[in-house]
Amino acid sequence: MKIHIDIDCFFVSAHRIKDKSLVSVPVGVGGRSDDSIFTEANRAKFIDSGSLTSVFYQQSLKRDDDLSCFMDRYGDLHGILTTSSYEARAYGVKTAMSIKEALRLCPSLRVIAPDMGLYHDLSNRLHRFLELKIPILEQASIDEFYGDITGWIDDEEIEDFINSLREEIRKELDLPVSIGVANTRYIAKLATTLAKPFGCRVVTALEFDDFINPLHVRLFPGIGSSMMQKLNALKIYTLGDLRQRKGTVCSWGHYAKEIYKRVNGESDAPINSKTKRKSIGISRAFSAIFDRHELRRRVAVLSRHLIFAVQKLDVIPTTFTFGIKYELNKSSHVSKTKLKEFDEREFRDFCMQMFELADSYRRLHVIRLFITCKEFTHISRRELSLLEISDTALTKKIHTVREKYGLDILKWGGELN
Amino acid sequence: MKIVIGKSILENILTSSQPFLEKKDTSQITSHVYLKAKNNILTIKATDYEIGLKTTTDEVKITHEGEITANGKKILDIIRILKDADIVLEHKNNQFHITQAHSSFKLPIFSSNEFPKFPVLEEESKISIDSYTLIHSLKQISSTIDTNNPKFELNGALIDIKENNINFVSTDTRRLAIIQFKNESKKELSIIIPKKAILEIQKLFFDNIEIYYDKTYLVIHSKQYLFFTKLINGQFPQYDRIIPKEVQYNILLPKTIMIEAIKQITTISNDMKIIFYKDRIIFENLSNDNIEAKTEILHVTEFDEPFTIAVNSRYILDFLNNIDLKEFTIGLNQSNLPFILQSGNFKTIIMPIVI
Repeated sequence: MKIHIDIDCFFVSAHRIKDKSLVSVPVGVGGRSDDSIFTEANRAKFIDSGSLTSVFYQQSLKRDDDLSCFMDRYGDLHGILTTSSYEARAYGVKTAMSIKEALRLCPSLRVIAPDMGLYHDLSNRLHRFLELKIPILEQASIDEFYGDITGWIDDEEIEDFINSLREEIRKELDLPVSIGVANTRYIAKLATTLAKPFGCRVVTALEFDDFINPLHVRLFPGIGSSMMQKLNALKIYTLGDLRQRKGTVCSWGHYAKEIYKRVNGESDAPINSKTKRKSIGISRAFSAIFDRHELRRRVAVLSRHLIFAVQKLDVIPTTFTFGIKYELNKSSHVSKTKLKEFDEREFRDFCMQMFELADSYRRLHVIRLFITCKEFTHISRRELSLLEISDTALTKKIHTVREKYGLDILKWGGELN
Repeated sequence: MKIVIGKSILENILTSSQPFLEKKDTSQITSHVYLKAKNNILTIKATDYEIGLKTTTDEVKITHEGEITANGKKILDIIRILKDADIVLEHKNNQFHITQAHSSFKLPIFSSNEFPKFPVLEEESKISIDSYTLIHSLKQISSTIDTNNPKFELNGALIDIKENNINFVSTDTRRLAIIQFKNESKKELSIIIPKKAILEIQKLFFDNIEIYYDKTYLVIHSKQYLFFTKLINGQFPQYDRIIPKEVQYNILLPKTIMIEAIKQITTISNDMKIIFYKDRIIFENLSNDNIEAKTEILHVTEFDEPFTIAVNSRYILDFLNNIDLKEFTIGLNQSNLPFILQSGNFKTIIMPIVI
């Protein structure tokens, strides 16, 4: 049997550990792209926990009123909610809703600034705790885990096992989790969704049909709005309907076929406990900027952060992608392969080159920049070029200094405003 | 033109001319061979402008002198199908006639005036390298030449004659092969010969050759052949910088035993780890999915701590297959830095895989 564990409204629950006044009131955690790395007051911190989210965070913002973090200097509110508590959801507040909209629906909503450091710390602690309880464990995201308990827990004892696991997590980490168990990972995740909040659900083979058939198709992970519309147009509303229309659904292509198999409990993926990091990137959104000089300065800042992360992970990437998002929904990117280990200056110049190449809408304002590095040599097994060996000794020394005194202890002169 | 020639002689000449022909576009004159009969000598030329071959033979009976062109591949196909006896080649009614006993073939011709001229070089631009040395050295470094690199200069081998030494160099960016000789002549020279030309030189020449060059061409003469190739115009990488100046560990290794060990691992994977212990060397595949190949040889090294290097074994095998001696040395510095394989004056510098 596969087990799926999900923390209930994780970010809110995390803040509630520290601030008990948040318990039982409507709470929302806001999110905004952290563009403070471009300003001088930056105290960015690099976290590599192996979880699947980005790696640079501002150290927690200490303000009396968290709402002010989302206010610009004109007093306008920006940003969206990344998580909301169940009390807030009762008002109709949803994830990804703008803060403005959420406050209109629920004026008593407490909006808090995110603290990525805290979340990563808790996520890591939960991972370590679960490793002691479940032999094969996979972290699917910052607040989600899959495990394989086949042969580890007898089927009759699963109910007791997950109930006590849920209580133990509550006791040890003060986190509410919901747990689902089923024959495949997809059905287990569905069981968790239905068990929420703070519940447990086991779906045995005998109960399978009764459990699946009455559920609305929208609840199934992997069925998005476009597929749901398509299904509803054919009067397929429940998963039971879907299971009876094999021919129709499977004729829609590879993905629909796979979804059908997942719903039917026929498709499963093994629990992968050793996910290796395959890429590293940095991405920042900001209010639209036209000034290319300022953008180049920001590229320098991003390149410095990225090479720090690359060194921290101790990898040598060989494929690089530079992307730009513009206003008016335009975007462009370039990818380059470089079989060399960069020193910091070369990497900055290389990022600049890629920026110039990628910047294909020069009349438009830019709203986001991202740089990604992948194809690490220890995975791709590619040799570097003999002809482009650089002396990286200085870059490595600088890295040691930055690890001790922070990323901003050494900057490029051109980064200063 | 009308001549009589033995099948095997003509077949041999045409076979060695094939690589010099344009193959795809038969409307080009470069898809044709050029034949000229004069003064009891038959000359056959083939070229695609980049590379060309002129072959001469006197084992021919010339009835009428003259010149002609026809599709080189077609002529060879026809000659091959004929019996092992004399063949008559004739220029008649603006067509190329091939006849033998009761069989006859006719091929279209192009104006022989339009056949490309071969380069004519001055006498003084002769390269004074012993022919055996040149051919043997080019052979040794040819597997390290890159193919289809957008930096054209890497698709060829460098002959670099300096004040004190002659260097033959080639690289595909992940390894670099170099052969060094003492220089006797005073003249300095630096030319890049394309890979295709080097492969053809290996097939055509053994010894007793004269080599000429200018800015654009390299020309090789022997009794039977005149061969030319265009040179690659470009700046070859500064290879001195790539060769490690100092080596921390130097280990003398037996060639045959190493080849055996490496070949065992290559049945599973080309990428392998070589771990040097104090008293033995372990070879292991690099892949991490449920598959393993491992072997070891007993050999005393100077390592106190195990030293691991990951490498594409093909590079080592290419080197070992090109050396004549029974032993070679491996020069190591650090796991992530280039290492040197050396046998006599032949060196290969290899970039390891950083794992």
